[in-house]
Amino acid sequence: MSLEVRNLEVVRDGFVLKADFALQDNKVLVLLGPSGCGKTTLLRAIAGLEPIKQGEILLKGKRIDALPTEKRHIGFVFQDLALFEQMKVRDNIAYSLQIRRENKAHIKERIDYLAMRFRIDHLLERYPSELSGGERQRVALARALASDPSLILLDEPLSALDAPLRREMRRFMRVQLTQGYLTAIHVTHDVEEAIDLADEIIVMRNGNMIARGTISDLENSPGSGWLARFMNFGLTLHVDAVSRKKGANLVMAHCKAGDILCSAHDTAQSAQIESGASYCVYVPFSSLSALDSKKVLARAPGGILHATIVRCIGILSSTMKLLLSLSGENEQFFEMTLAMGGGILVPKEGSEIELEVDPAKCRLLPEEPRLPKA
Amino acid sequence: MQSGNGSFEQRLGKTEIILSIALIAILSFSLAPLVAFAKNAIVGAGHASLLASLGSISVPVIVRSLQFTLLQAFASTALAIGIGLPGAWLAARFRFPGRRALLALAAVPFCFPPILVILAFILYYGKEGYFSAFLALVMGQKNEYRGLLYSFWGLVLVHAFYNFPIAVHQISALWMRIPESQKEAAKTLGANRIMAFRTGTLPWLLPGIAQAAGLIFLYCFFSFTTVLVFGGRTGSTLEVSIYQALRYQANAGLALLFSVIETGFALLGIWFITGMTQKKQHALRDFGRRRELSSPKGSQRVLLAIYGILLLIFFIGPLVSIVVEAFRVPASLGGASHFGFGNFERLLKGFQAPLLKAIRATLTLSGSAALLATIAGVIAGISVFIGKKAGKLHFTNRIVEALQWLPLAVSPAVFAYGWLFLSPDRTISAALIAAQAVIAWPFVSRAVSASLQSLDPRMREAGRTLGASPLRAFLTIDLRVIAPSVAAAAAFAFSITAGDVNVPLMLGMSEIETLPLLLFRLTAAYRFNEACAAGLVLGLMTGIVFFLKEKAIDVA
Amino acid sequence: MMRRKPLIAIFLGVGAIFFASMSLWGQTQPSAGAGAPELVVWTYDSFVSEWGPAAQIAEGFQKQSGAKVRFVSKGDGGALFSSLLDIAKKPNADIVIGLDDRQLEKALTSDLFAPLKLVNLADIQKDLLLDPSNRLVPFDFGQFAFIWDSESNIEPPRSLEDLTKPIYRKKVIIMDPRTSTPGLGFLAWTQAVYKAGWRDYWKRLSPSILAMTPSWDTGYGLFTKGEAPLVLSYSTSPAYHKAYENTERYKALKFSDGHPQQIEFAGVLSTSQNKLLAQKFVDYLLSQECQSFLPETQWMFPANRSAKLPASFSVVSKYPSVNAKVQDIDRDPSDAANILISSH
Repeated sequence: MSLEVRNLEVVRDGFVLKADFALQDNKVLVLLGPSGCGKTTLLRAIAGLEPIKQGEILLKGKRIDALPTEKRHIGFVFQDLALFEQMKVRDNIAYSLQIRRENKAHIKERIDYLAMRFRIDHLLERYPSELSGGERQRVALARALASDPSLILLDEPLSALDAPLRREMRRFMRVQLTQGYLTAIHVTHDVEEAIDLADEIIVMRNGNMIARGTISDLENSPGSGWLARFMNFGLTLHVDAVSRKKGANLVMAHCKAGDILCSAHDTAQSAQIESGASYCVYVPFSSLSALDSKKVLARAPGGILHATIVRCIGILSSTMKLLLSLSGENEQFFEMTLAMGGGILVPKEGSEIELEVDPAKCRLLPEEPRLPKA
Repeated sequence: MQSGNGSFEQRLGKTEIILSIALIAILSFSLAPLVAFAKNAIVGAGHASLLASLGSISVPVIVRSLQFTLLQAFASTALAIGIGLPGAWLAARFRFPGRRALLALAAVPFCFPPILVILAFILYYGKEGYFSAFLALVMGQKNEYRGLLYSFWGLVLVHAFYNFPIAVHQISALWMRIPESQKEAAKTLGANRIMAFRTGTLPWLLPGIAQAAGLIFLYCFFSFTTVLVFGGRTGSTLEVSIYQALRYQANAGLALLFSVIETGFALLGIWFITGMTQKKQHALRDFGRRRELSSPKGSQRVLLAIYGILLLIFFIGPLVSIVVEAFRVPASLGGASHFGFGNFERLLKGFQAPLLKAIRATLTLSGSAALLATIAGVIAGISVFIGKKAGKLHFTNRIVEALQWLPLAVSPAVFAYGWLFLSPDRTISAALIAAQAVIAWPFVSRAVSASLQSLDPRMREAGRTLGASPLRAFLTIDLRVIAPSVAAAAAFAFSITAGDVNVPLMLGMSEIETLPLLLFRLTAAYRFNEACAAGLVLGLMTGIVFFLKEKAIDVA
Repeated sequence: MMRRKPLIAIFLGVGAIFFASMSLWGQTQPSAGAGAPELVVWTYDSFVSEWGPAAQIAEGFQKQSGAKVRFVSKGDGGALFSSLLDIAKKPNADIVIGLDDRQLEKALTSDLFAPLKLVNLADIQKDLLLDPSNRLVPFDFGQFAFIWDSESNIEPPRSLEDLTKPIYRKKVIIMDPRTSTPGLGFLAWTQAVYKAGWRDYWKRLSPSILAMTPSWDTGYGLFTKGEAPLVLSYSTSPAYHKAYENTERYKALKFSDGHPQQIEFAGVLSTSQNKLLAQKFVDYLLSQECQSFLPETQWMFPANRSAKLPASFSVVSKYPSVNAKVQDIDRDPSDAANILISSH
């Protein structure tokens, strides 16, 4: 294990953050969550920029939680990058090496290597204010990596960039992190960014880690309706009542939009469900498929959802994106991508479409995430 | 402005013509006295002209005066910054009771005339003052403490205490905007606390410190009343030399020479300040977010308490002693000292009772000067703003922008005598009003153009998209925004003119005695308790601005 | 987004100030009122101070003539003289009180004053009448002397030279020769004693000077507040402390160099619109009535021989006098002041 965070608790102005996780060498962990969830605070606590109330932080097996920031040897890329504006790019990158009193030849060698790797060799003599957004990003990354830290922390460094550049920088960073065998924690509120960068994702909410796993783990069982919506994995339909089916884990959920068969193995007893706690059926987008109108009679076992086509959004050569409104539910809009061809005509806006649900992928979930026991 | 906005452009054209005329008026209003003074000094009118008196000018005297001026200004600035920096740090970092009050102290140098503060310092630090009494109490005996006053360091102390709140206010405002991430970045890269501060905070802080220092330096460079009262034989600033040349040597040529040297150095100072301001703004361009204040902990509380106590003892103490002394009737024949309204009574009832007349004269003269300054300032401020907005920095606009620095670059004596030469019957009161208005209008103009600039242009544009005509948009949006700052600036202009003792002293005005003049005379005659009574009245009058708080401080 | 009420209040305030200005404008204009004639007297600070003679004189003269007198203080005598000679404006007074014998010559060459015909001139000590044209007439006189605080534990000096001794370091207060007549008198004193070597004396004296004040008021105020044990003043000053505080703590020191005399003059400006009334006023100033209260208000000897000296003057002794004039009245005061300033 490269990094271990055990039983960590940070208290700040009444906000409580709790964390407990470990991270393997050469892995990229993404801390994902809405703003104010505590992900940046957690990152800062690991770097020693935020005092911790209790818990342990171990880096390569050594306790670092009592060390001041400058002794932890952790690279940090700030949201505003925090480049030293009064120094040239070269001096920015050399900063940590000069502080460690490395010899001049080594510093030069290291700067040249980083400059080449980050494609900033032509910028070394410039000042940060003379750089573009992407260039500043690369300089900040190079600076954080200069002294070869054993862990690198990235605090939403891409948030200031516009979309195309952000996509490009995301790829660039993934390549750098992979090729450099780096261990990193990346903080973001952008799901797409998390999917692109993460080996593993921890989702945080209100100071708690509510889910953790690879992206497909999370899609398979998001654990709560909230998470499914936050990650945009699928539909979450409020459950009015359930009735048990013959299979041990299968229940029939009765929703306004229709009855849906789903597994309930990761939820509580159906008795509890009936007692009034808020539950929903999670219908991942991947479980939906358009029902061939000719096969209507062959009723799908999982259930059928009726939707109205509000608008056909984008039509590429092979796919089509539909904005749909779910019948029966109040104002549930969602998008679905359909493959083109195979006799499917471009549907008319305003017409109805029937969607078949694959029951194997559907889950009965609590609306709110269940917190780990304190 | 985008093209296709024809009517607006046309209107702007018309406005510009009107404004240009107004600007030329302001221009001549500000520069005419300088020309008149120079002309009279060089050509001479019934007195020694510059050419005639050139031979009698002693170069060492000028050099010494310049040396002293620079030396005291440097020392005062250094001390003011030294006192102000800890305060700036505390105010930028922590939430504590009295924080707003500390920042509001920045109004003191503008609201309370130097003569009042000087009086406070004499009362407090003088040999018989409270501070000396306190020292004697602590030391257990009447020691040989002579008081710091009436020496170079006394002068520096007064200057420093008078100006340090400016440093606190300006530097803390900047400090709050410097993001922590710079310092934290240095730390994550291995820098210790000191090194991180040097890399992450200091480069941003320095231009701000330099700018505040530059401003304080200029104020001290032009120091007059303090030097006149304390300087005695410590030295003579250029400003005092000008005064002496005019009042006691009847030598306008010498005065001109002194003021040209003075202005030369002041321009250097202004150049430095504007440079630093630009540097600061350049650095701050990306820092949007203000830092959150934290509650002080442990040792920080101790520091805060120490700073607070020191301020109370050294700065608030003198100011409070004015109030106490105003009501303490000194011991006289057959009676011990007691508290009461005796001092006020003497000023109101005695022979040629001066107080009511002085209040009236101050209200009349300063009221007129402030009004004149406000009118000129509003016109100048709006025109500077319109010029900037239109993107064409009109020639007159540039001049007006430069003219705003005039009072910081030219001796009030020059304005005063210039206007005296210009006024038909050499009427002192007219010269006084005009000279004080010239000194005060840039404050109004700066406040107006700053508040116009702080207005989000989108608000105006939103008004336009919602159907308001340009004029209506200006009236309903811009004017409403500038109105509070115009009002604050007018009150502020009144404050500085009402507290001004320089121009009346320079003019040798005594037929009409204003409150600061009365205060000066009573202080010089060692009638401290009556001086305090008059000072209290003046302080209440000029302190109006103090109650306008933030707005007024921003103007300052 | 904005609070309207304070705004309105501010505007009202500004408006009120403006209208107050307008309505009061006339009242501050000097001598604007028609009615009874009012004489304007320019004089120095201590003359109009609380314990000075101005109030009594104004009252006495009004009783006699019905005319009002307004006193305007111009600082000390040097400043007063400067105001008369101001480059930018003519003096708008009727009478000037308080020029001294050292300023006399320059004052007379300026043509500022009108010749006077005075009844009471006959009673004035003849040796004080320095202006045969009677444009400036003497009203009191005294001798310069250093006053010593006998409770200060410091040895009293016996001569000007003694003042330069290290024991008097920062113990002496003098007045600025540019702005005050005692300061000018002290300059003349040193010039009379040291002749061409006066500059050198001032340099040697410099360490002893605690303060060089712009006016006698300020200097004497500093002294009585205990800031220094020695101050330049008059041999008559102890009479004040005798009369008001019944103490002989403050003593006028007799110097072996002799003591210069100061004669103070009054005159009527030739620009005055009320010359006859002004002449009457100066006559009153020289009258026995007025002269008899001068000693205990001016703390100087009366110029009128018939005026009696009060009891408090028993503590005043007359010292051997020395004739002292300023060598170059245009340059020397500035030079002397600059010596003190620069040698600091």
